Amino acid sequence: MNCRELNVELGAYLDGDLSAALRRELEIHLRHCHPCWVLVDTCRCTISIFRQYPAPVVPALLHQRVVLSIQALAPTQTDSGLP
Amino acid sequence: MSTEHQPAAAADDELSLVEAARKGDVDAFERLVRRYAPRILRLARRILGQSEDAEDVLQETFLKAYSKLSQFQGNSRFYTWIVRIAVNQSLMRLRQRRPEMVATLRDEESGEETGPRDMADWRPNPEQQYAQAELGDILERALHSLSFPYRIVFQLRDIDELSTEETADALGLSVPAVKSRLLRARLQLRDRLARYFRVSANGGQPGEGSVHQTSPKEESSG
Repeated sequence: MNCRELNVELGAYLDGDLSAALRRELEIHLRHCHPCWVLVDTCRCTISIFRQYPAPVVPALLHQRVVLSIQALAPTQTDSGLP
Repeated sequence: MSTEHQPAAAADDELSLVEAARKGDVDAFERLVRRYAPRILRLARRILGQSEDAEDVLQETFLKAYSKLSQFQGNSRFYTWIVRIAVNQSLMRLRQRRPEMVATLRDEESGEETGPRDMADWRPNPEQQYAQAELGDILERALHSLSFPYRIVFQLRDIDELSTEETADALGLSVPAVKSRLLRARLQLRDRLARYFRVSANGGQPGEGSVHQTSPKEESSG
């Protein structure tokens, strides 16, 4: 595999969707091509940094608003489960 | 790799909360709200910006999920299901406010990626060079520099962890279109972040360095 071919397969490789044979070829290329290794490594890093960054805290008033609207919709607890 | 991936126990727990909520246990549903509201709010804000619309979408999503709980099949995760609801609600609002933006989802892909790529190594744990809030600003700026069709695909696939098929379904796109946009989004984001995270040639501050041309590493990243 050369650098151009790696670029074609990059998305599938990052998603773990490559066949074992292609994956092996790609990983052999990575062992010998530092720019491609950096490309793959920094793509992975990009995904993981975004994924691990925590979601925002929901403001307490907003959370309360959501919960109250659900409670307003809900049947009373004592009714539930009765025949 | 992900901190948000659910271990099996948490997935079981999710299912039992959904079951309890179906039987009328509002507290169980409130626990689901507490668990997922931050991620749903983040998703709505990534589509609608920091707006009241995003907050309204959060409320609508959980209300809709609650009222349609009996329709939840259980063959997908509850979280995936409410992400789908949130995407629908968000796109509906965006269509009212910025129809031209939603229309870009249907745009044909443009040609090859242009411009040189930054091929410098990144520092180990590059995100730790920045305070949490500063890192958050860097990530938001990078994401919002992407065009909408790329940003939304990256959000759903790589951050909210929907599958390629689920993402295609949620956005009304083909699977190849999702794959192609996802790769472009990843590459563009990588280039945006490189200026903050790259190792500089003189070991100085990020962003000062030149392209690395050192010998290949022995290890494989796979």
